[in-house]
Amino acid sequence: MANNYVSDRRSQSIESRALKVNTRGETLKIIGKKALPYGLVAPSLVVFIVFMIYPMIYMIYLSFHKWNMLSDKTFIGFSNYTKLFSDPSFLEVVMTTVKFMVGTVSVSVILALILALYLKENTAINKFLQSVIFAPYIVSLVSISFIFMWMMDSDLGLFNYALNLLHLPTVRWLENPNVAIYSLVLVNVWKGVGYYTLIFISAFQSIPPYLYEAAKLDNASKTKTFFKITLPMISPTLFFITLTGIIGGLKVFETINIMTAGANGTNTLVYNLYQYGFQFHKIGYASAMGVILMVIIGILTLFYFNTLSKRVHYR
Amino acid sequence: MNIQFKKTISALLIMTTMLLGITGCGASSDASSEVSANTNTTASKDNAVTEITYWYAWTDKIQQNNIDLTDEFNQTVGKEKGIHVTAEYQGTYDDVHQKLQAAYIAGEAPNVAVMEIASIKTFAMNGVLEPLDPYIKASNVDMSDFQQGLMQNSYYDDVCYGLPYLRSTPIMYMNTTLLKEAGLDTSGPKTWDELAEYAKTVHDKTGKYGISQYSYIWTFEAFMLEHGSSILDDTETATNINSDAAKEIINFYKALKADGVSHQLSSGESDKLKADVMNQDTAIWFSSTGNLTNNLQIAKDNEFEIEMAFIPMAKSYGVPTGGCNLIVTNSGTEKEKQAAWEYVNWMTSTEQTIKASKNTGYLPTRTSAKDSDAMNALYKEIPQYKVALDQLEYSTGRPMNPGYAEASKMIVDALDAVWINDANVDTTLENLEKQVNAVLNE
Repeated sequence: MANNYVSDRRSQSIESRALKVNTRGETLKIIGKKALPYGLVAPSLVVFIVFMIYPMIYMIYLSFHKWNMLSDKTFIGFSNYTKLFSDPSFLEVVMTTVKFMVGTVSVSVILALILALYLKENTAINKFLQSVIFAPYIVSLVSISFIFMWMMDSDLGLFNYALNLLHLPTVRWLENPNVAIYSLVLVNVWKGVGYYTLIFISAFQSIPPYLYEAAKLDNASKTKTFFKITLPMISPTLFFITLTGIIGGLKVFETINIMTAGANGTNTLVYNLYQYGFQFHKIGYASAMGVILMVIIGILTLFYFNTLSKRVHYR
Repeated sequence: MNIQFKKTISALLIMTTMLLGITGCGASSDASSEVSANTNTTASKDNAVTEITYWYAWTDKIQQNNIDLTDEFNQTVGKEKGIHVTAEYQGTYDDVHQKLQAAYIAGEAPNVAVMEIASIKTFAMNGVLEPLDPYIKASNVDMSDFQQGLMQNSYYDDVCYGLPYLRSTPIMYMNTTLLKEAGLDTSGPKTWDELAEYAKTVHDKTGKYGISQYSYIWTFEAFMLEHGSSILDDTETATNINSDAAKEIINFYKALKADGVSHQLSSGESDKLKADVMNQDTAIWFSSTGNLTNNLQIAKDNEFEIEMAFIPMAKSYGVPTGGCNLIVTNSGTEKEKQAAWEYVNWMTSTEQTIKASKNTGYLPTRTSAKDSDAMNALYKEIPQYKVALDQLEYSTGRPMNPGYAEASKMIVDALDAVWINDANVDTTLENLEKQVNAVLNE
């Protein structure tokens, strides 16, 4: 209230002054001053509107229509949505996506934490290891997918060759519907873990050393130090990484497109969407999937910011 | 308060001007493109050269064939009639279709394109394709000269929308070096019983696979035809997938797989079939006649011999055809459409059919080409060509229902389930039938 009152008074005084002066140049100057920031953000705003907001609204619009890109658009209300939710294969696709996302994020984050703890001291060998572990991240996912496809080949692949040498039963990595999705998780973890590790390492290094010294003086155990100091101090990073990981996991496409083409229980939301939109020519149906994906990601993001972010220790 | 309101207003004003600016830009660029299009046509009127674009699929020998023929057209008939064709590579058939859709909406569609035969209906019913009948009549094209098995997919509602270009059928390939090693007759199995016999003998005698194949809709269509059935019924509104014929086929390969005789690969593993062929790990495989030149080369490089034979019959012979037709889009001016037709007509004429067939190994689409001296000389040189051509007598078209792309995916997934992951055949097919029928009737 108080604030409002102050700003009210201030605005009134500015207004009266503007009225008093009211020369043409002054007014233009004021308008110019106000317009300047908008003008400056305009280029990116325009790009944002044209390439993000407009397609999003158009997608929502299309999801209420039946359209194969060539025919006229027929308005069919919520039919696409009711059909989607009554389609068992779509629910399967959602479950597969969730499996992939949870698998990738949890394994990547935990593994990256362990690696980061191991590599956090800035010694020469660690620097070398850090760059080694980061290397997969800069290789294109397409190349990685092709290489892993050959290594996971059930007849000629390196993985099964190694299992054979150890007299272990071989695995049909990409063909067995119970295994295939986790093979894809493995590929994505292998690619992403170096990036996560590096971010964790820099987070560790920004923790003030006096906290550890104090813990040492108090004779705190290593586990206790980790859970009471390290983890809370890097929680903003952890929070950020988990969130981007979840969103990235829900949107996975390349690996699946190349390695399994959605076969053997690896059909995820975005791949399914691509197939319906561009191979089966059902743009409306695919748009409905897109809307659902957007809503899922939106809800997760909101949930994350509203609940988990409160537990994040921001310095 | 007031000043905040003003701020919002001014912000809104600025944003609307911005937006107006954008739409303004859009409109003006549209106008300019219209102008440039106009100048183009006027220019072409002046110089009497009509520029048209042709979109084709695939690289390698097929690409070279497209480039060579187009060059020849530009230098001969094109020069005479004032037509210049620019041939543009677009990827696979799927890529061509996808880009064609997008380009059509944007008003940038090419004048001529290749089109996978099962997709003709989808594009024709949405008005993308130019009906060819008036042109055919005007140019006096002898339609009966085209091989009739190849023509079914050219028509939608009795109107012709495409002429056969690079066409093929699936056929049985045999590594006769392996067959000889197993003491088998190299003329190959004629029936499904013999096929099983052959495959088992090869496996017993050589330790190699008798048959190698991946879950593939096109060869499955052939297997259904060989069993006197078809993948969809005549009206294309229901599938025959939940039938004794389909079960017989599935169980046939299931049993062979269980004995280690047949190498059943999943739908995503077509590369492994190639590896099996190259490494001589399989005696029999099913593949397109269009792969003949390629397969002969592989055999030569790896020092083994190849023969082709009809896909064995269970009840009757029958194979689907495949490949692409040439179509004309209706997006050009009358003059461009006429030019596009001249090009299509030239490309599908007897002389060019022979060249294309020799260049790629695809089937000659015209009887006159098939009987020509040039082709006869080729049969003498490579007798395998003749087998593919003879099988054409038993060929039919492919399903054209727009829902069939999705249905194919469902069928292939089900084949993976029963062949690779040992799902129950009866329940899988029962569910599949319901799903496919629903998609076909949408």
